[in-house]
Amino acid sequence: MSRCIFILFLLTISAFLFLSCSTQSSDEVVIYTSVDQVFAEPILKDLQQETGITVKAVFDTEETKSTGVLNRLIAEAANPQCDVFWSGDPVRANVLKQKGISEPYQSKVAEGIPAYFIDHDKHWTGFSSRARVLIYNKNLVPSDKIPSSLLDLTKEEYKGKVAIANPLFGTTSFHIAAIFSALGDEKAKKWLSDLKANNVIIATSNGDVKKRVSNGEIWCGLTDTDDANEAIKEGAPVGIVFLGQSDIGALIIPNTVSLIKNSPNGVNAKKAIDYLISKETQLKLAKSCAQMPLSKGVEVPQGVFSLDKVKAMQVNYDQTSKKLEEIQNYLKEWVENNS
Amino acid sequence: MKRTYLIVLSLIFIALAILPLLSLLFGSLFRECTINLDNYIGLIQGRTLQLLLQSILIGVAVCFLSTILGLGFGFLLIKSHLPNKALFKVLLLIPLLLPSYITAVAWVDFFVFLGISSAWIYSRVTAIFVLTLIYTPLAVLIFSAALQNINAGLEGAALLITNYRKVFFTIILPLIKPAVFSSLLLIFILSISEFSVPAFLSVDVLTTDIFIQFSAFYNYNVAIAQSSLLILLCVIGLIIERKLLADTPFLTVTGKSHHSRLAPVPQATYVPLALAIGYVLFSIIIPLAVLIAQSLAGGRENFYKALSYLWVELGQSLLFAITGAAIIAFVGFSFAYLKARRSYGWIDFMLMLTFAIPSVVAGIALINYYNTPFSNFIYATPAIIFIAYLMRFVLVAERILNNRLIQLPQSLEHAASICGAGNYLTLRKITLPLMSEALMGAFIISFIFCIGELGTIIMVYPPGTALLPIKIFTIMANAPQSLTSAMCLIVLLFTTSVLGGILGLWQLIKRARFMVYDGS
Amino acid sequence: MMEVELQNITKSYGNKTVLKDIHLALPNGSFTCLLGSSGSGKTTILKLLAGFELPDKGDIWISGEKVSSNNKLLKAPHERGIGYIFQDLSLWPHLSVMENIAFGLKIRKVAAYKDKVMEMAQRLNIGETLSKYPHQLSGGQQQLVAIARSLVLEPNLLLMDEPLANLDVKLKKVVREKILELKKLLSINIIYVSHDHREAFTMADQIVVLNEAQVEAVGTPQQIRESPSEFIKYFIEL
Repeated sequence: MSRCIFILFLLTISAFLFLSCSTQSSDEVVIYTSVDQVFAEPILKDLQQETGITVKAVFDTEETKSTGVLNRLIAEAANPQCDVFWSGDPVRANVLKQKGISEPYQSKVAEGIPAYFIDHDKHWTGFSSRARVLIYNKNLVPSDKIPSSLLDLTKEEYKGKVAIANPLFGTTSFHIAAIFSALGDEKAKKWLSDLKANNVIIATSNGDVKKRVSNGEIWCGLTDTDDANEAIKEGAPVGIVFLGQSDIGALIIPNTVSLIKNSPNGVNAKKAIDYLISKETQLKLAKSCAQMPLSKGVEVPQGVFSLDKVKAMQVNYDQTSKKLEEIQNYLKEWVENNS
Repeated sequence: MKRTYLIVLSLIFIALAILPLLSLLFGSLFRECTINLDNYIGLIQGRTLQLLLQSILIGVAVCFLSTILGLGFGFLLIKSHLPNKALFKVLLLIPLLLPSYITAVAWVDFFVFLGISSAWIYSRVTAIFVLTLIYTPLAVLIFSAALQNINAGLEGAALLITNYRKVFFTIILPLIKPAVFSSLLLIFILSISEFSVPAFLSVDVLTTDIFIQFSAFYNYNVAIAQSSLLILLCVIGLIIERKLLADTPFLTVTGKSHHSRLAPVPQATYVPLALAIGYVLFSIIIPLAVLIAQSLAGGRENFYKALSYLWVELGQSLLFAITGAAIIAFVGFSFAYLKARRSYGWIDFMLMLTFAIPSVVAGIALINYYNTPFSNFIYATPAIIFIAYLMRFVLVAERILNNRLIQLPQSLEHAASICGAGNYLTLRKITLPLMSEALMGAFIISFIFCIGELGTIIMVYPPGTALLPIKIFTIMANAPQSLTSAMCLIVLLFTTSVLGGILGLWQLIKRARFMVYDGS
Repeated sequence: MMEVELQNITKSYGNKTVLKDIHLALPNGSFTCLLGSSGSGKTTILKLLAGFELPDKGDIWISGEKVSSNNKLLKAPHERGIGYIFQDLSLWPHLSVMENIAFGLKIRKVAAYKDKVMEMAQRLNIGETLSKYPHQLSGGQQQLVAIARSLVLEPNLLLMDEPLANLDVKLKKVVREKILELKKLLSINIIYVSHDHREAFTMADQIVVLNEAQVEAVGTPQQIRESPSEFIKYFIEL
C-alpha cells in the first residue's frame, strides 16, 4: 500500500511540473489589478480574445482592503513579475511612481482623455472613473433630512447614524486627503473631530458601509458609486447623493493604468494599456459597474452618471497623494481614538 | 530513519522556509548598512503594548475556551455513548472548513438580524466568540486522538478505587496533558496571528496594526518589528509549555488492553446527545443557515453562476491541497521523528518561527527571498505555493505526529531491527503502519488548512493559478452577497465530500489491510 | 572462545551512572542470568549488547568481533545476529502472528519461510494462533510468539529481558521448560535478565549478580549460593 501511495505522490508531483511547464507561453502579459474581479475579469478576457495575448491576472481581496496586490508589487520591485498595474484609484499608482516601480508611457489612445486625468510625468493614465457619494437608507432617512454636503454629517440629527470606511485605506483615504486640500488643514481637522464627536461609525470597507446602510444598521454613509450601484442592483432601499454640489463638489476617482519598470513583457504591456484605456473598455465599464467614461464621445448608458452633470471637486491628484502621506499619522490616531 | 537523511531534510527545510524569514527579520535591523534599532525601540510605546495586551487577552481567552470545549467534545466522541458519532465527527469539523472571515461575516449578519446593537456586535467579545467557534474543531481533533490512545487498563485500575469524575480529573486529564498543552499553544498562536476576524470586527490587535503599517504606510520594517513581537509571544508560550511538560511521563500504547473504554455514564444517551446537538446547532447550523438564506436570495441561477466561477478552481485547489498536505505530512513526520527519537528539541523553535509569523509577513519574506532571476523556477511556479503551505502548517502536522510517536514504544522498532530490518524497512513495515492513523489525521488537518490558506498565497501565487480561497475573496469585493455565500456553500460541500471520500477510502483500506487491528 | 565480552563498560543517563567500569566475559554455549534488583543496570547491558544503546566508554565484543566501541556503533543491531525478547514483548499489533514470526525470514528472503514458521509454531504449541492478531492471544501465547519470532531466525545469542515476569506460576513453568528445551535443541547462548533468584538458579549455568552499577559476583548457581557477599545473602533471602 505504501508503495501505491508513493507512486501516487510522484504522479501528482510530475503532473504539477507538467502543468507548470505547459502553461509557460511567451506571448503573454501579466496584469495586477486592485479593481474588483467581477468587473475587471470580463474586460481582461476580452483583451485576451481581441489581441491574442494570454492574460495572466492577479486580483485583490476586499479582506485586505485591496492593498495585497500593491504590497506584492512593492516587494517584487527587484525582479518584477508584473507588466501592467490597473488600479481603481490614482493613490496606488502614485505610490508606485514614488517608489520608482512604474515607468512613463504615453499612449496614443489617451488622446481623448482630459489631461487633468493623466499624471504629468505620464506614469499613469486615468480612464473610467467612479465618484465618492453618500448612500442612504430610504426607509430610515426622512426625505427632508437627506444630507447634501459633507458638513451636514456633523449635525446632531445624524449622531451615531453615519458611517465611513477606514480613512487609512483606499478611496476613503484619498477622499479625506482631497477634503484636506479643498478645505485647508484646520477646517478639515475640525470636520473630522466633529464627525468623531457625532459618533461616526468606522466601517471596515466601502462595501461594509454599503451593507450596513442597506440592511438598516445605520442611516447613511460615504462610499463609491460602484458600491452604491451594486446596492441598487441588489434591490436595497437606498438612494445616492452626490455631496457638495453647492460647495466643494464631489470627488471623482479615475481608474488608472501604470506600466511597470523593467516589466518582463514590455511590448505586450503597452498593447494591454492601450486596450484598457480605449473608449470601448470605458463603455463596457460604464455598462457593468456604472463607471463614468472620461474620454469624450463615449456614449453614456442610461442610469450611469455623466461627468458633465456632476460638479467635480477640483483636485490635483499628485498633490493630493502627497497630502495623504502628510496626514496619515493624524488619521491613524483619529481612527485609534475613535474605536 | 537514517540520521544523514534527517539532517539533509532539516537543512533543506531551513534553506527553503526558515532563511526567508530570518533574512527578513535580520534585514529589519539595518538601515543603509548600519544597525538601526529604531523600529524595535519604537515597539516600547504605550500603543503597541496596549495592542499586545489586547492580542494576548484574546489569544488566552480563545485558547482556553476552545480547549475546554474541545476536551468536552473529544470526550463525547470517544468516551460517551453518543449515537451517530461518525456524523458528529464530520459536523464538528465544519467550522474549520469555512474561511474565518466568512464565519465572522455570517455571525455578524445573524446578530444584526437579531437586532443586537452595533456597539455590542463589533467588539472584543464577538471576536473571542467567533474565534473560539472556529478553533474548537482543532481542539476536538487533538483530544479525540489523545483520548483514543488511553490504555483502558489505566482507567480501569482507577475506577476500582473511585468514581468516574475523579478518575477523569486525576488519571485521564494528567495522561493527556501533552494534548492539553498542544491544544492551548496551537490555538493561542492561531488566534493571536489571525487577522481577518479582528479586522472585520474592528477590534484593534497587533495583527491589524501590522497590517496598517504594511498597507497604509508601506512601512515594512516597522511591520516586521511588530511581527517579531508575535514570534516572541509564541516562543514564550512554547517555553512555558516545555516547563510544564518537563516531568510528564508519556503513556505508551501496547498490545492488549489497547481498546478505548467508554465512560460508565448511565446508559441514557440523551445527555451527550443533547449537548452535541446543541453545540452543532449553535456553532454550525447558524452560520450555515445564514449563508443558505443569503444565497437563496439570489435564486437558483445564483448557484450556477457561483459554480461557473469556481469550476476550474475546484480541481486545481484539490490537487494543490492534496499534494501540499502529503508533503506536510511527510516533512512533519520526519521532524516528529527527529524530535521524539533523537530528541532534537530545537525543532519546535524552528517550526514555531514559521507558524507564528503573520501570513502577510510570510508572503513578503517569500517574495524577498525567492523573487530573483535565479530562483524564478521556484517563484514563478507552483513550487512557491507548496513552500508557503509547508512553512505555514508543518508545525501542526509535526505536533499531531509527535504526540502519537511518543506513545509508540520504541521496542517495537528495536524488535524489527533485531529481526534484521534496516532503518528503512523498520520504518516502512513497523513505524509507518502503526502511525497510519495519526498520519491520516495530520494529512486531513493539513489538507483543511492548505485548501483554505489565503494570506500568504495571495502574495505569492503565480499569476494564472486558480485557487479556491483566492477566487472567493477576490470575487467577493462588490459581488452580491448571494453570490459570495453561494460560493462558500459550494466550496464547503466540495471539501466536505472530498474529506468524506478520503476518510471512506481510508476505512476501506484499513479494513482490508488490518482486518482486525483497529486504532480505535 | 568467549561468545560475549564487555570490556570497561561505563554508561550513564544524564548524571546517573547505571554501569560503572563493567567487565564481563560469557563463554560459548552458556545460559547466563543477569540477576539484580530493579535499576541495577541489567536491562542496560542487554540494550548495549543489542546495539540500541552505546557505551560511554569501553568495548563490546560478540563472537570475536568488536561491535561497539566508546560511543561508536561498529555493527548495527540487525547485523549482530542476535535475538531479543523484550519485557513488554513488543509484538507488532498490526501484524498477525504469522506475519510477526515470518518478519525476519522474509527480510532474509527465505523462500520456505512458511514451513519454518509452522515448524517453530508447532514446537511451541502455538500453531493454531497463526492467523490471529497479538491482542487476541493470552499472555502465555504472546510470550511464546515473541520467543518464536526470535528463535525462528536461529540467532547465536538470545537476549531475554524478564520474559516470565507477567505470567502466572503455571505458565511460567511451561514457558521455562520450553526455553530450556529449545536451548538444548538449537544450541544457542542465552543471556537472561531477571530479578527472581529462584528462576535464575533453576535455569542458568552461570549467574552474574549486579549491584549499584557494578558486578557483585559471577559464578555457577552453586558458587553464588555460597557467596559470602552481604548483598547476595540479603538478595537471596528476599
